[in-house]
Amino acid sequence: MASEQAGHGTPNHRLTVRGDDPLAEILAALGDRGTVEADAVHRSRATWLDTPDGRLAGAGIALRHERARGRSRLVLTGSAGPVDADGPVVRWPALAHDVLPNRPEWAAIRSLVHPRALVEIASGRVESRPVRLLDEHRKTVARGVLETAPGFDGAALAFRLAPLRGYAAETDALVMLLARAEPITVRAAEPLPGGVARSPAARDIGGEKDAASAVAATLLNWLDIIVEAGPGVADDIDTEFLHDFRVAVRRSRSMVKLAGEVLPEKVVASLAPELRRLGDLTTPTRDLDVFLLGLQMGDNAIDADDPLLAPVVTELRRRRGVEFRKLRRHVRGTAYRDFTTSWRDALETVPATPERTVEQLAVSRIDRSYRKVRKRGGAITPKSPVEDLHDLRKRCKELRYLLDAFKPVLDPASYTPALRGLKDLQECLGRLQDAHVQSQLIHQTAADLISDTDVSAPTMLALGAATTGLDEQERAVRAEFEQNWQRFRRPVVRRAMADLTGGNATKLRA
Amino acid sequence: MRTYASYNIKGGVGKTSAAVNLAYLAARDGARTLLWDLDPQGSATYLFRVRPKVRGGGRALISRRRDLDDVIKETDIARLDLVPADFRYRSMDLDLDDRKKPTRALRQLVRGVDDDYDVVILDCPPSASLVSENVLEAADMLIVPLIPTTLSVHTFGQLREFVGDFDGRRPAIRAFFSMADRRKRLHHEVMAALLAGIGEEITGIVVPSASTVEQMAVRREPLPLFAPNSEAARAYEALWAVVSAG
Repeated sequence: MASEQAGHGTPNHRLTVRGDDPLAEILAALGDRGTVEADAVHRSRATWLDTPDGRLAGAGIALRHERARGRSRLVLTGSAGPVDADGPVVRWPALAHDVLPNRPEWAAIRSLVHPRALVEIASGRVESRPVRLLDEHRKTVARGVLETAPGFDGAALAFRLAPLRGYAAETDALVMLLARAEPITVRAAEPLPGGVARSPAARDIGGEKDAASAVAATLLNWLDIIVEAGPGVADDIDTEFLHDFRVAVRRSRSMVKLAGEVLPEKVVASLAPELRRLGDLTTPTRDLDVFLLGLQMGDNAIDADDPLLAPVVTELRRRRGVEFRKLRRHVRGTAYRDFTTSWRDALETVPATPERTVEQLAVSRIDRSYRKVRKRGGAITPKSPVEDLHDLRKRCKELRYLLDAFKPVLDPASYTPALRGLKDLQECLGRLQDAHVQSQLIHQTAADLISDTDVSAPTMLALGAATTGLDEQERAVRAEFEQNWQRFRRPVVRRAMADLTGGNATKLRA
Repeated sequence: MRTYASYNIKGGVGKTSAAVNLAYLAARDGARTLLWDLDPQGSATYLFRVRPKVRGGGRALISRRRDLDDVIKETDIARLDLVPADFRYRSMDLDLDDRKKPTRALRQLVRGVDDDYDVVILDCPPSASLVSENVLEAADMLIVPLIPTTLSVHTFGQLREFVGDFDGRRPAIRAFFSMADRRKRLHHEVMAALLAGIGEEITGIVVPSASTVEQMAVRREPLPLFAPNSEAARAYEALWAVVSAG
């Protein structure tokens, strides 16, 4: 009979079948209760994709780019699928935002992977056959597809089924029968020929008893992140590599600054300057990335689609290119490579400080950092220069890094409210900083473009309007500061901070 | 949505064959089609390999305890769904009689799915009963298979009278000759007389008495699917062209 239509839809059953002849396994499992009829095989070449941090695999989703007979398409399977669309002809990696279809059924995936790139995690051949699952009366109860990727180690046959209307129960019964067979597994995720390489597990400082070993372990964790993100930064795969890289660098700098006294002085003196250099080198590119990503997502005060502002956006992209090339030269250079090797060697051989425990270090450093935040924040008035708020933001970040780093030895009952209060304040200060940086960027770009005779008067007027908009945005965020500061000073946050910093040993994990 | 009923007061005239083949042709031509097997014998249901069972039987549908939508089964044919028969449909007259407006129940049920389908075909049991009155109320057109015999002509007269006297919606009537045997002189004479005397209600399409039509029950498939070039299949194609044109 004709079999051109798809099944009625949900629920979709996803099974995997292992063995040399998966179709025979299915038929054997069904016995006289049913059968499967399969149509002709469709063959294609496929590249399996995921974000560098495995967001799709984490969500039980498989995405592949198929090419066959001059056509290409993206196929989404697993808990989100199956969905497919004509795909772009691109080389991987490519930014997900640029290649995923801008259609409603892809919106959740676009949001999940933004702003990451899609990278190749495996490639090979895919064979798929449309199938029908029939009951003992040879009535079709479900339609689906048998799919396999031959040649991969442990390749399994994916068997997806959608019941026909009115046949959900019959399909369930047959799927249950199939699931009883040893080579068949009912599972939500598609079998993948490979996977995203996982980062090594972070070192747990809760297991460390002395302060120096704990600080070294923390710095080694962040060094792993720096080293892992480095190639992605240099290849400019997506902006998140630089974000991860930069955050790990900043955390390392803060830890060295706030608790570096437990490390050998010589190590700190010789290697800490490179952390500062990396921080400085990443700042301009990251600031421009934030601005351009905001434009892409429509989050900025200026209208990215305004053709009059196109010269400004072009100029900002050019600058980003210039700054990025400086950064790339450094990350691909020998100084950076030597630093990562020496830093690791030094951290792995840090002498223990049995006279000082990690708990003692955590209490004293969080206490000192919290005092600074209170002092700087309490001194902020509506007339304070923006630099004071920027300084407060840095102190908040330091406190946050300490809380995160020492979390394994802090009492969760105090850590959680303390962190929540701090995060709200940081969020406000972060928005203020972003608005300020973006305003400065536009002001600077406007000043540069004024000397450019090719820029039209309407563009200059549009720039004026844009800078006004950004200034207003900055003022609006600034007006929210007082309210957020008071929230940070709430008794619940103060009590939590007091518990964490008061030297109260009962509030610390043994 | 357009509703057709394959109907005759007389049994064994080819109603189910017509309903199944026309439903297939409608779906093949792209229409979202629903076939409702109202005959407790369940022959159309059997042809599509569907179990002749409706949860709660006809009573659940008539009393609106269950929507038609809940009992629809997708067939193996693209775009063709089926409301199966149930042996309990034999008491549908009694179930209908319990309702306030007993002749409108089927129409209301069918209208409940009018967003989902372009064509609904009712395969009716042979009778002139309350179920039949419901069919007249629900259908836009009655498709009437006529065996070209004297008794059959007599029954067709009763059918026209039944429709003419009905106090409600009166569907159009399109009859065709079914199970016609060209070797029989009587069949030729009856067909000629009816064509001359009745006008547009008789389409002039002749589905011959043929073993291929009987093969439908063996193969459990619509005729145009396994014998598309047979004379009978071509006759059903012609019939669908006429009735779908209005």
